[in-house]
Amino acid sequence: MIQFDHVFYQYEESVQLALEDVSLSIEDGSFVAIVGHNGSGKSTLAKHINGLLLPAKGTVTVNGLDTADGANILPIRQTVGIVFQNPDNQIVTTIIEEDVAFGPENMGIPPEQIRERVDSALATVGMQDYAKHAIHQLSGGQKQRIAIAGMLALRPQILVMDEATAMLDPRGRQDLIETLKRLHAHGLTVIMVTQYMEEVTDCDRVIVMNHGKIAADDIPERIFSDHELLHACSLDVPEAIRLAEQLRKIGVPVSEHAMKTEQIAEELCRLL
Amino acid sequence: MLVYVAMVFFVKRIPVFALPLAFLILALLLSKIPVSYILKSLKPIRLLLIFMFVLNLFFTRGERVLLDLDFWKLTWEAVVQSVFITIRIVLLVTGASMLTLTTSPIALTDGIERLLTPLKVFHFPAHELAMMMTIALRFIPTLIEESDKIMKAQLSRGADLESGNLFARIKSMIPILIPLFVSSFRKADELATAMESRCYHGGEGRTRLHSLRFGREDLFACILTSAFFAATLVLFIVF
Amino acid sequence: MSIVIKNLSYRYSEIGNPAYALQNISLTIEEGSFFGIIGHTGSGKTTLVQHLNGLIPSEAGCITVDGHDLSDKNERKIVRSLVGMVFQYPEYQLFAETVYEDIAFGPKNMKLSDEEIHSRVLHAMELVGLEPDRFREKSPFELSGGEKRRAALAGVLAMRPKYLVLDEPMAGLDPQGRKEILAILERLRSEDGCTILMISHSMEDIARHATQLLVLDHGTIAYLDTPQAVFSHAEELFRLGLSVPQMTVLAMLLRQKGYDVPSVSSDETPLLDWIKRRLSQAIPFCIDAILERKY
Repeated sequence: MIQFDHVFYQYEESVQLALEDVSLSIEDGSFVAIVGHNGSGKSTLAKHINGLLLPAKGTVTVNGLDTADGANILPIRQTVGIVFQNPDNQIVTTIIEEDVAFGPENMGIPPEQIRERVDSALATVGMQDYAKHAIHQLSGGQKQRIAIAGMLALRPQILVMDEATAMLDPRGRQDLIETLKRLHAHGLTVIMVTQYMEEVTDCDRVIVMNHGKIAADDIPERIFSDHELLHACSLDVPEAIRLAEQLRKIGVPVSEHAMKTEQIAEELCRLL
Repeated sequence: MLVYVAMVFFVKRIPVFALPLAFLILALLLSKIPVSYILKSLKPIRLLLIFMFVLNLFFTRGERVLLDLDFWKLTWEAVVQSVFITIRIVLLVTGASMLTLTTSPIALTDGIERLLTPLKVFHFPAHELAMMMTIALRFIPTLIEESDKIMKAQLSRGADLESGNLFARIKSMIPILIPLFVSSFRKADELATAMESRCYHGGEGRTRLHSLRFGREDLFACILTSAFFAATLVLFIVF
Repeated sequence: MSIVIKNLSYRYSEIGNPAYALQNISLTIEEGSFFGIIGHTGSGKTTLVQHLNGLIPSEAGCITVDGHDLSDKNERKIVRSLVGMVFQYPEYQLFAETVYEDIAFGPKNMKLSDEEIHSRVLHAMELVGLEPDRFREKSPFELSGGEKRRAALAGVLAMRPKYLVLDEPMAGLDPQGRKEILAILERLRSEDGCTILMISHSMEDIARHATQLLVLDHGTIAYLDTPQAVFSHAEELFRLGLSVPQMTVLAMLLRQKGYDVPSVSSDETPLLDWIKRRLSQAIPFCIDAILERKY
């Protein structure tokens, strides 16, 4: 359970507030998307969850632990795993299994247990055959899965993906989303920071950030039907949803719950 | 393992060859690396070896003339020197490739960390040093890629990196060096954030996935290495 | 005039890696086209485009740009002024103290007169939407992400390339930033007659803008056709690790169900029109009634 209580934050070199009076709570087991244009504050928000940034005003708590309390930082970072945008800049060592072991090593976990954690984390992301490979032999998508494995080895409850799909090709992105869905099905809380609206359709909640404030916080169906909001926040609507939207406008009763292309196709077949 | 590999380097510096050679062969047998691997590692330096050999033949002066052409005398000393140099390079390269074939960079840095740990008493940052080496090893390929990209981008904008005097050339490197520095800082910053997120808090209380154990083999290797080293040293002093 | 590639092959330089990065590529890029290139990671896209201004010397095969042969060292210089190259994340190549200086770097290397450089820099800044008065004296490192990207693009545009090659120019930008870049490219093409070659992972953008589309797979040409024709091979593209625009998928799914859907690449209008027509045929009264009530 993550709780933001009236959080303010401002970067040193900036005149604007990066976060302005942000309050929200994220329940365990949810699959949340945080969307917004560049500079909307979505990454700043993500970095507050594990105490990489501390609020200037207000409090952030994870399972009741305040991130501002130095003593809580390690337990919080074990609970909240975070994967960043550039796969090259978050992998610490050359050999894959050694990188996955980095987190547990930091926590002083005995070697036999690290072994077990590394193996199971690599298996979870489907990279067990690459344990002894060198990082630079992998594609971007595979590197991101290694980064996830590195987090899973810490046995977190919450996984934050900070624009982790931005640098991937279509298949890499697809694979990563599938991995996340599987992890979510296994009970992990997944928070996805993104600007690709197609990725949002898999989530059960969307938080729209704009100029450091929460502009909307709702189920994806309702976010997508609010064109004014999306336009004001410079966000896109996927083509298929736009089509469904236009059909609804002329009175064709396409269900709002159909957001993926396949679902819309089914709806159309029903209607035609 | 580490101690013995580190010693290979040291021993070979001393040009009494029989012993290091024997040591190398023994090490080769013990490490069970196929000989073909070692030979392969020598392949890229073939030309260098031949070049060094010929160069020494030509430029070493000596007393005992074996062959006298008008412009150049082949002397006994030159031949000996050439053979010496060649063997020395071969030993160095084989030793180095043995090191990289038997020991992963990580094991190497871990080993160094362990060896230096006693110096912590004098506030020597052993863990930090090893961590720096690990990261450096990890980022070398990434940074090479990055500088290649920046160089190509500036070339596409008509940058001239090859002509002009020294000053002009140094100046022409600026459009490459500045972006490279900026990007290295960015990488360092992002990596630091990522490491923090993975609970990194210095060397205290850290464990290792592959903890290095000082086993019977290592003891054996240590003693063997010391013996070889001592013997070489003695030979060196005596002759 | 055009870029002509004949039997181009290229091997990776690493020892012990016999794989081809490019294998026997032959194609022509016509002047004035918007040439899209797609392919999975490691399919050879970047290697291919880096051949086009001689950054990678061709090992086997021949490339000519407007008749200039790239294997000739003297011609290569001319080609570099014809072919502008925008790399992935081009903002990482900004280096000068001011935006103006950085954009002027290319024209200066071309040994143009000062007035010419000045007018080109200002024109390039206007093209990419960076107001000269506001931005020229700023440090490029102070700009926002999207502004940096556009400044870097201006640095290439100031060289007035006839062919503009872009390697994933929209990567990492938000929807607004992506639209801005695409608008700049379209303007260049229509106003200055600039030929655009773009590598992209966004099938929607490619479908909407490209006139020709090249699909690379393991260094060989999988498809080379109009986007509409290429995207009609949806299943094959998925197999190659790519995707197709959502509208194409939708049309494909409907076709699988036995509907006679027109082939669609991107943009929802054709499909929307088809659905409307179909609905009005099936239940004319009903849809008319609905439409009347609505409007």
